[in-house]
Amino acid sequence: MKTKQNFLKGIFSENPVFVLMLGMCPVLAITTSIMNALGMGVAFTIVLIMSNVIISLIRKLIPNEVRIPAYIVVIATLVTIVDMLMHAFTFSIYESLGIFIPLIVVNCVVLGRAEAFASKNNVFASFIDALGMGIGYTLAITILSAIREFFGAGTLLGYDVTPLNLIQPATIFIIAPGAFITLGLLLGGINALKNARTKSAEVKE
Amino acid sequence: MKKYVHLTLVLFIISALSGLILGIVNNLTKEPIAIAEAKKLANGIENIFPNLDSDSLEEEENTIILNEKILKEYYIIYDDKNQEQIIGYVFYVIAPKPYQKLEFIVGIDVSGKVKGISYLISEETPGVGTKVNEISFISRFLGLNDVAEVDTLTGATKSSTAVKNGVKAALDYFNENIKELGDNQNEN
Repeated sequence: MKTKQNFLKGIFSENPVFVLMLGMCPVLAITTSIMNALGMGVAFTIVLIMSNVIISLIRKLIPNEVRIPAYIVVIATLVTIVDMLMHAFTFSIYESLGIFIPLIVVNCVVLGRAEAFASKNNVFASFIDALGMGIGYTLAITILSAIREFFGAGTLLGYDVTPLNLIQPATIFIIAPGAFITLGLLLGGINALKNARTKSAEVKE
Repeated sequence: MKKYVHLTLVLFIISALSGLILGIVNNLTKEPIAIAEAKKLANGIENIFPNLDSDSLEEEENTIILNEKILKEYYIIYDDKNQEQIIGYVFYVIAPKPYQKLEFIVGIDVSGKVKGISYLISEETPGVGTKVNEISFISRFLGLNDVAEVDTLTGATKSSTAVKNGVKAALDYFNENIKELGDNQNEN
């Protein structure tokens, strides 16, 4: 039960994008197409899992005073490895993600989970935490990018889904202001749902 | 004092191990990365000159490095049947743009006309800057030896102007440095 909760919190109650609001820079910048979001999500999840596991393994060896630089070195190394591997073997995704793979280093979700969870918990719990957080992050940016790609370019996963041109693509969804507007509306919707739930729970009581 | 030695040592060990692992991964991925980059360039050139002698691309003497602001280098393209015959030149263009990366190649045939454009690196905004990838835009350049009359794209003005200037730089270089060379050779 505890493991299940630990896993699910990353997706729902502590979703890094919709609830914790961490690592927003890549969220806003790369969610222009679903393919980008999925590529970023997978790269991010791999880095997060590896960093959580490694930091949890060495958590007792790292003195408290130097823990932040130690975490950053570990995370930067992992990101560079993922960057090189993607450059070598998944060339087209690497091309479209561009600068955002190296920027996973400064994505505060990774450092945040290392500091808040992996440094205090065992390897298995840290792995589950990273998996949940990674899936939650991927899910959130995929939803955001699906909305932006559909309204902004009229496509989904690169396929034209408006053959009759019923919807004229609105460029604003693709550019930066569209990211803020879409994210704001999504957050508003999620919070409205949450508030409604709390209220109905209160009424029952 | 002992404490600081301990702190330094821990950080040193972590950094050294990280460096070692990075070195190993770099060795493993160096070759696939170089192959992937070269393949992308070769594919682009083949799109522009379908009947080229692909072996000649691999010879170093056919790549002339310019390292100018816009033009990085150019490649001499040979015909695949008659391998002495030059059928054109491909210029590697780095578009001068302050905010995003745009690199492409321009093929110019021996008479100085644009034969084709192929994009290598473009970090364009999907739906805006990516309009320059559309065939209708590229086809505006084909067969021209002067691009002054080419219209840029509404909604992608900066990107399409960058492409236009890049093509112009390649054509200028060709007219100034290569065309005469070819003419002289014909006279001889």
